[in-house]
Amino acid sequence: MKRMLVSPPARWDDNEIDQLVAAANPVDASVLARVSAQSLAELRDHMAGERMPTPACQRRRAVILLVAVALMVGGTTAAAGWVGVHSGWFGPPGMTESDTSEFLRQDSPEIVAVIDRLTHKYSLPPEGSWSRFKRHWPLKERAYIQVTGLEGGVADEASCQWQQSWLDGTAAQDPARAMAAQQVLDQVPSWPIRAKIDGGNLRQHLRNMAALAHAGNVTEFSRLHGLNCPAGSPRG
Amino acid sequence: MDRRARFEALFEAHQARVLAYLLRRAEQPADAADLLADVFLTAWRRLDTIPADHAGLWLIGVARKILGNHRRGAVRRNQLADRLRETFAPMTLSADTPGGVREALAKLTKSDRELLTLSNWDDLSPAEIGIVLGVSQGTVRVRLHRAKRRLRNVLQEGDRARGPSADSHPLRASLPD
Repeated sequence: MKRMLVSPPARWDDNEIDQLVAAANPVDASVLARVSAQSLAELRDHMAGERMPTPACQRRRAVILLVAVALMVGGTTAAAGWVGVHSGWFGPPGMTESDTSEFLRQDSPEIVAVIDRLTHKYSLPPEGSWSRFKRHWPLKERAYIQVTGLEGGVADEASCQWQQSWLDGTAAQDPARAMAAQQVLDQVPSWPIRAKIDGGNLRQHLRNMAALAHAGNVTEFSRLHGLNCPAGSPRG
Repeated sequence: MDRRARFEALFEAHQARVLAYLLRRAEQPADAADLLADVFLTAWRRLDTIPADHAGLWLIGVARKILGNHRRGAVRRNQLADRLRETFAPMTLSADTPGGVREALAKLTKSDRELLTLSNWDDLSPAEIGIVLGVSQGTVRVRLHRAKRRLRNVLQEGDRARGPSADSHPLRASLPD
């Protein structure tokens, strides 16, 4: 039994959104069926013949890991029941998206100090504040995040607040405020963390935002800001 | 079971799922061959540390990270994948749906797009997505809900831009009851 929607409803529910996305899947069973099973089997057999890392390599990696854990844990004493921020679990080379930074426990009270330290690397507009962003931590349930991922969230929060400042300055016909925000927006795509963890087209999006601000395209700027900077939620 | 047999079993069990994941996201279908080789080479080298209870999700997590590296630079050609690359080169993937849902997905943030596609293209549950992304199931549910809201906004804006007589509206496609 199928039904046809002859006119679009004002809002689509989550199930319909799921169906739309599923229907846009570019690789279905028919595509996979065209993949040569023989080529796959050859690939499998070749890989299983690959040389393994030598014990010396593995020892060196283990030593690096232990030293890094010792440096990061420092003098912290783990009390019974206390959830420490350090997992001792690092993204192994070749496995993580961009780096070998440690996975931190987001449910640890210590995460607050880590976030606090990261926020000092990014300026906010005069009317900006980190308080809304910071209140999401520590989380109530166990969750891990790499340091770089956390910093990406902090950077996103800062850039969103600068975008808001540009919108407010433009609406208030306050050229000094809008110009100050514009200068930061020009720099955002070059922030080191953006280059480090931009796995998609995020930097292109940020360049586009800066260009829209230069062009004074408030409508499009505001639309993209609204889509990517939801109020009240941590980003990243 | 010896190491080679364990690897072959892992490959047979999960190669289709990992390949589909990569084909859906690689810039060129042929790149998926090199990326697949990278994923399973990582698996071969780390075979003893792969979690037995969710090996498939571990492989998707590796694929995700290798894909992230690939997007930052040219794909590294892997000789092992030469034959496989040849089979992918002429491959054309399914076209976007009427209404441009993939185009709308491209307008979202990477994070939103990733959640929506892991859920609906790779058929992962929120708990499974949480394992792949390293976040809790609850966090995934919340972010997924927000991502759907943002996709809905983009689609509605596209719909308004096309006007009321748009025949290509995504929801004019038949939906199951």
